[in-house]
Amino acid sequence: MSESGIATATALPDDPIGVDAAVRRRLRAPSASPVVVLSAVYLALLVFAALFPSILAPGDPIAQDLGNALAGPFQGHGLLGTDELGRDVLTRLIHAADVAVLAPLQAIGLALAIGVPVGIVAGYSDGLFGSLLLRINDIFMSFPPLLLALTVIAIRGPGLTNAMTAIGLIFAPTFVRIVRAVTLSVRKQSFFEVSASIGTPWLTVVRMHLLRAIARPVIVQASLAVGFAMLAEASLSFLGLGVAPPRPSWGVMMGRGVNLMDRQVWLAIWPGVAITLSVLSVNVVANALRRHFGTEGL
Amino acid sequence: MSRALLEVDELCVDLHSAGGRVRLVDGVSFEVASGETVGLVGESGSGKSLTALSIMQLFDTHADGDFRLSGEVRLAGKDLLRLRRNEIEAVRGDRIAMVFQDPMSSLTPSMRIGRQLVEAAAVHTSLSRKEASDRAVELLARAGIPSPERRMHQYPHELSGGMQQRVMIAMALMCEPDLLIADEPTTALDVTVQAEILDLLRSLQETEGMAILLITHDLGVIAEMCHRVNVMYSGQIVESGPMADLFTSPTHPYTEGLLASLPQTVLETGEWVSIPGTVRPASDPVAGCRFADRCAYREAACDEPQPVFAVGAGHTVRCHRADDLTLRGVGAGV
Amino acid sequence: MSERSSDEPLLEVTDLEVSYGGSRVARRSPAVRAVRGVSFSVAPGTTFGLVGESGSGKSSVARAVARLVPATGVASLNGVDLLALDRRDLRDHRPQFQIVFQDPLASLSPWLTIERSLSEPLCVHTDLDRAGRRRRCEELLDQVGLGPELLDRRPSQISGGQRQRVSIARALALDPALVILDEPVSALDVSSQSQVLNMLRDIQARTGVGYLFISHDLTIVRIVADVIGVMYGGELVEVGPSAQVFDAPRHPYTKALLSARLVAHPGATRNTHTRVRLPGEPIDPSVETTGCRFAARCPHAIEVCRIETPSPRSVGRSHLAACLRVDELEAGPHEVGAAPLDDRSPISQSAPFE
Repeated sequence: MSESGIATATALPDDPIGVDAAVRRRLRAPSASPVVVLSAVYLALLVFAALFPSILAPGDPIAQDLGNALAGPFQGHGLLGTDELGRDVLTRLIHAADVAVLAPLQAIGLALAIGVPVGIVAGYSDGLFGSLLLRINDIFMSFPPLLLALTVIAIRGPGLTNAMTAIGLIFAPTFVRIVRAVTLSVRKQSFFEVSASIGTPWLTVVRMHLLRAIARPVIVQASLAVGFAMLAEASLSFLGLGVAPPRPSWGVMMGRGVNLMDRQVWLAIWPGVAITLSVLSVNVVANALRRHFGTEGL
Repeated sequence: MSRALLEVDELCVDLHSAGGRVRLVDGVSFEVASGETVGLVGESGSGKSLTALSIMQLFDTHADGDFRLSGEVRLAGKDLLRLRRNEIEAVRGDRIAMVFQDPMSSLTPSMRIGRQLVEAAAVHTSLSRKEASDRAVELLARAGIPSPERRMHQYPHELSGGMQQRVMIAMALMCEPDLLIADEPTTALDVTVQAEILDLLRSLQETEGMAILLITHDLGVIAEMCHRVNVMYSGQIVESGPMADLFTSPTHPYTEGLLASLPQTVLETGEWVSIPGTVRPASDPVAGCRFADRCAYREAACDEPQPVFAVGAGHTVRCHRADDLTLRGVGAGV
Repeated sequence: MSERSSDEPLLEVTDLEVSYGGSRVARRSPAVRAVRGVSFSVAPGTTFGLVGESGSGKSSVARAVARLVPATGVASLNGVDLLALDRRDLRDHRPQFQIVFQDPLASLSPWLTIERSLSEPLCVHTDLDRAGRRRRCEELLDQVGLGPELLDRRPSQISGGQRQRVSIARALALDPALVILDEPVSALDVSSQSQVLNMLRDIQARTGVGYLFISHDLTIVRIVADVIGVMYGGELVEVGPSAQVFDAPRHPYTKALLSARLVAHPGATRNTHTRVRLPGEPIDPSVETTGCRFAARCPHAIEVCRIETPSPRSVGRSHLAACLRVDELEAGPHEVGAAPLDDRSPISQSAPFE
């Protein structure tokens, strides 16, 4: 008695009012609004600038032209003006994009590398060990972020990698929490017990079930964290604790620019604009992802 | 002829969102008279819970969109759907009370039971706190809860499932409602406890003269409790009539299929019958009969919208073949 | 299906005990004995129905036999004691006994297609390649009356009845000797229930697989099971051929359970005088008692019932009931003359534990 001919999507109601998954799918509005599309395009451009800066930006980011230093925008020397050493601001901004993209990825990468395995272990461990892990995690979470970053840098010295290590450590506890929560709820599901009944080895269970379960919440959290990481890198570089000169970074540029504000106000503004636009775009895309993934699965 | 207490007239519930519109309840009409128990029976996707919730308008928005109600729901002649917010709140709990499937989600976990019961009375009646408290103790005792004075000071989680359900019933009765809507009141309970709760509802109905609208998927509960039954399928009422008639002489193929597939029927007849296929989802509407694709008696005219026909005293059915089909029922004398 | 003499039971459970909790750190929470020395056997190719209310321990029995929770005692499947297997042997032996759970939606991972969910046992225990697995999945779906187009769908795109059938297909994937079904149809609509139950019968007739069928619904158990076991408070209070237990129950609890059934036929049980009314609620597993665990609610309890623990006594062919008074009491579902609720003095549920 095959049921193949019958209507394609039927499902039991998933909530007391009786709105089932099929109805929900029918009602879902498209998630791509103009703002989201624009942000995605901007981010794509940013990644392109990070990978191929020379294609986008003419000129040399470290070429000095002291004769035309501190020029304003649209004055014939550099579209956005020049800095105190006559270097073209726009070119430097574009060449600094790789830091803006790379830095957060380093930080979030570390956070995930720590957070996901620890979170899974914490989710599996009942009793004393699990509680201990959680408390240690809470301790890390309660550190004021920049203070933690400054501590790491004080120990290991300034530099982009050290700064990003610090930021990675700051974000790791949040991922531990998320992954642990998802692991705990997956363990309660019947399909998980069925895996035990089948005798599926634990590594396969992690690969087949857990990783899929944590994927969406982790992706959403990671995309939000990228925005924070960008801001954190910029702040640290602003304080002189991040990227070392002459490598351009928006944070460094802004730091210098603030010092020179009385002489050329635009030097502080352009890096700020770049940082703001990037962080905003990341957040818009992250929120769109969260809405889109929304209530699917658990 | 006296007017029925509750009259539901062509009630429709639509779910609207930016992405579209889906009709979940389609032209449901039925009545409940004082002192009688009317059942609303259906499986998943039938819309029975939604219909019950619409009477009290216990929702307006949902994560997936807004609900829009149309039609009329008249309580003693007055249309509840046209009332303003404060007016409907005055009706809820006072003239209509509701009991749900999961008592833990209806009782506030952080408030003692006595206080919750007294609050229910304080909102709607002019009883003093002392009078309300006395009434609460009395109702708890009537609901079969031992040591009611002690229970007044307990929290919901300190009671078992069956006890919590009794507390819910007591709470529903605090304001002497004219109508009690019970949505799967015993589904989550053990068999021995279930029987007790239903007995309680029946005896309360006899003493209070209360009408009961009983929503359930369990035909055993229907057979036990109801005077009249409405069978819902995919958002519509497909058959409606006196309980015994519905069981012994069903006139809608869905009702026949439902009765035939019951374990009790299998036990008595030794035949294993089931309705093929699955319910058509609400998101996939069709102009004609919504059961047609699963019906053994289907013919061409089934693709037309099916009007409601009368087939006996107070017995109606939404099937144009009602007169020429003789369907098989269950129970005594069949 | 292996060659075996039809006298040898498929599954023989002896003195099964399951306890939960009992943390070493917090001495305030002693272990809860959910299953207290349960013994029964399942003949090959038959269905054993385990029935009870909440706290009866029936689900714990299922999980213990499925080796999902720790237990003591013996659970011998075709001669091999499942409870004694060490981890490696257990893993190799798992294909012989599989479990199906109650919740159709939670039994399938929402992030996997039906094919991938069905393939899990095949990936773990066979060497089939991708194509081979897909073919086997199609066969399995066909066995449960579903078409191959379901393979690429997600659980949210199919109905509850279909999901449960997929879970059953998955349990059958490795050709087990025993399938444990824990309330397999309780979460389904009535029309899906009969589809699934009928299908289970067909599969048993074709393959000779044995079922341990757990349910709270006596009517369902009556129509699917060959032997019924009734559990209360962690113990098996009555066991026997399903027609006998249903038509002529001997244990007071079984009688009460039967009389409390809501029969979905009008006119059948309007007569509440014949219904046995039990005070209170089913006993909580954490409560310790002396004597019979049902004594506190039993309409026939006498003093000795609260002192002496009844052991199962034979009351017919392969029919046992654990009641001290079983020979005095009449067989039959309805207790005309059982004291109604109001007349009885309250009996405390937990007698002092010595």
